Amino acid sequence: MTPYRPIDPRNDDDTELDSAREREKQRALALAASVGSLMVGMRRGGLSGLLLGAFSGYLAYRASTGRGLKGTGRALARGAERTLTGHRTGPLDLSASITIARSREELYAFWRDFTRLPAIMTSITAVDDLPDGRSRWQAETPLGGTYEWEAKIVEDVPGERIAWRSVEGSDVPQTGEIRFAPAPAGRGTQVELNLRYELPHGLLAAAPLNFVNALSREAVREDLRHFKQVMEAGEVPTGAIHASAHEGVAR
Amino acid sequence: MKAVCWHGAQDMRVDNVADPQILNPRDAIIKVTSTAICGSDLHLYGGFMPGMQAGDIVGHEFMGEVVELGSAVTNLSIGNRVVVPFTIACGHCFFCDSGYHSLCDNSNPNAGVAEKMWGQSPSGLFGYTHILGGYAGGQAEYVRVPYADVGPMVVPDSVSDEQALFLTDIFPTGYQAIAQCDMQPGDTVAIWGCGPVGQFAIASAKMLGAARVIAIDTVDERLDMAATQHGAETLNPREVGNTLQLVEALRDMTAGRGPDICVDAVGLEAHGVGLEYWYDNIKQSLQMETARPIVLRQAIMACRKAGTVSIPGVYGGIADKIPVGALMNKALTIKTGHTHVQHYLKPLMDHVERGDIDPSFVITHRMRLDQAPEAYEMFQARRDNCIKVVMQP
Repeated sequence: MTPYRPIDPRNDDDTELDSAREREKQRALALAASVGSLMVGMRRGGLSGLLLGAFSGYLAYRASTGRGLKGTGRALARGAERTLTGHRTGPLDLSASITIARSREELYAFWRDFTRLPAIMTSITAVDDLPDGRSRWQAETPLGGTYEWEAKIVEDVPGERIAWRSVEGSDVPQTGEIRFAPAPAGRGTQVELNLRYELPHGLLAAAPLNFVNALSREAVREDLRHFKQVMEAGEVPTGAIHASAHEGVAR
Repeated sequence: MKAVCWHGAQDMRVDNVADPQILNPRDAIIKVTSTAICGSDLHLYGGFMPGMQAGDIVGHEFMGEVVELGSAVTNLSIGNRVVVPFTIACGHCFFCDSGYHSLCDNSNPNAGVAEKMWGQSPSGLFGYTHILGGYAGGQAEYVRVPYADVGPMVVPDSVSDEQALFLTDIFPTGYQAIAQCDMQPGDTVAIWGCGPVGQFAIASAKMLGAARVIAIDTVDERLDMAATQHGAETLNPREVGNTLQLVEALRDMTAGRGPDICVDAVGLEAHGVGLEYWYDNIKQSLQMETARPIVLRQAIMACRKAGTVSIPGVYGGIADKIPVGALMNKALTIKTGHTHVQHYLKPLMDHVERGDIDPSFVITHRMRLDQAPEAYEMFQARRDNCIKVVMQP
């Protein structure tokens, strides 16, 4: 369901290299740069060495596909831009699933009370119940501010599914759905969380606005993991030894 | 409180740090009475384990007295003398329910990182890499113990600290290395690495009825301990030669069959003879592989057809030139994993209580906690015949 749009190959490649001779020259340069960055990377070691190694591989790939050194910078910049914005100007769909050794009914009952969700959702600081299946959500932004919106339950099938959506006029319109299905051979319940954020101006534009750290598949997985930890073990684990080092855990 | 903290390769220090607090309802705080340095702590000390941060409190073999309990811990009382498994396990997930406590689904707060490296995350561990949770360890005066209602076990009065301490890790680890192999009457077990885990694997193999145990190590004192304590036959690769020669020696010792069970109790820092060792040493220092899997190769090559290779030795990342052809063509079984300590704690405590085994045989040095930097240095260099150091805060 993720709307992945393949990059148009016509726009992807950089420069048409005019002559065969120029092409050969560029290939040789790319290959030399590849070997050079591999050697420097190996000497440096660590993260920078690893990055240089990856860069070396990229250059070798360019050389092998008949492209040269020319236009490398532009191609890399375009790749970075795409990563940050390009793909993300439509809706952003995030899904994750997890198996929890508890019954569908228990898991549904926990989730149905939205006010308990801050205990498991890292970016959510508070949820207040409002009348008519509505709720007010509050998230902390990376820069320490708060961001609020109102959501409304649109579907509620006990033990199976809850779906909600932000009400009209939200800055980042969003929908969410959690599903509960039996896992095989009595191994509990398979839980699937599907979130969709409408990002009319791209992910980068949404970043200062709200909780960009929540807008990743990893964050959704992590929240589901917290759900499992609370339901199976009764608490979210922490490696900290004292309270000041104890962040965002077990409430 | 005082605690042994990792500050980088070859740099352990005794620091003053904040006392631990109860943070979750199932926590307990233990006042440590005895703690030991594990061979796997040397992987941290040598700088071979990724995911360490300067200031991390190390140590995963410890026992002591309960001084504080979280609201959900009802099976322990203040003052109880307990031994604590090094694997942190919630006791209620699919894996804990199945006896695979070191694979607990819930105890690693950094499971997302472990999933990136290994696909799925094992349990959290005390005093080890942040990939496995970054839990503060027990080479300290006090330690916070999560899930204290399922982990720690009360030690009977008749069992001393030194007899109980190794139930935290190395005794069950050596025991599991054999117990998971479905040993048959008449089986010969070959064990690479006669450090503490190897010694307990040798003892366990004898206890579980192995016909013969062959102990392999490059340090003569360790081979002596294997021979005198447990009646093992010994083999020193420095005398036998390279991998091929070692495999041939093991074939000769078993009339061509090869050992039925081959145990790699060495792990990622194996030593070897000749070109092979240099090859792995160079690749490891260039970070092109994270392990020197020399022993693993030898175990696979030496193992009897349809035999079992058991790996209690620790590995972290990627290793090269694993003889996968031998593995497949000889239909070998691999058994490995961190130890499901909670699963073995009770039966092994019973063995100790009955006097079937006195685990303190492995101790060579007794020191104070503030001598830890010296102890690490000595253990790493195998100086003064050092096999196992126990420290008291």
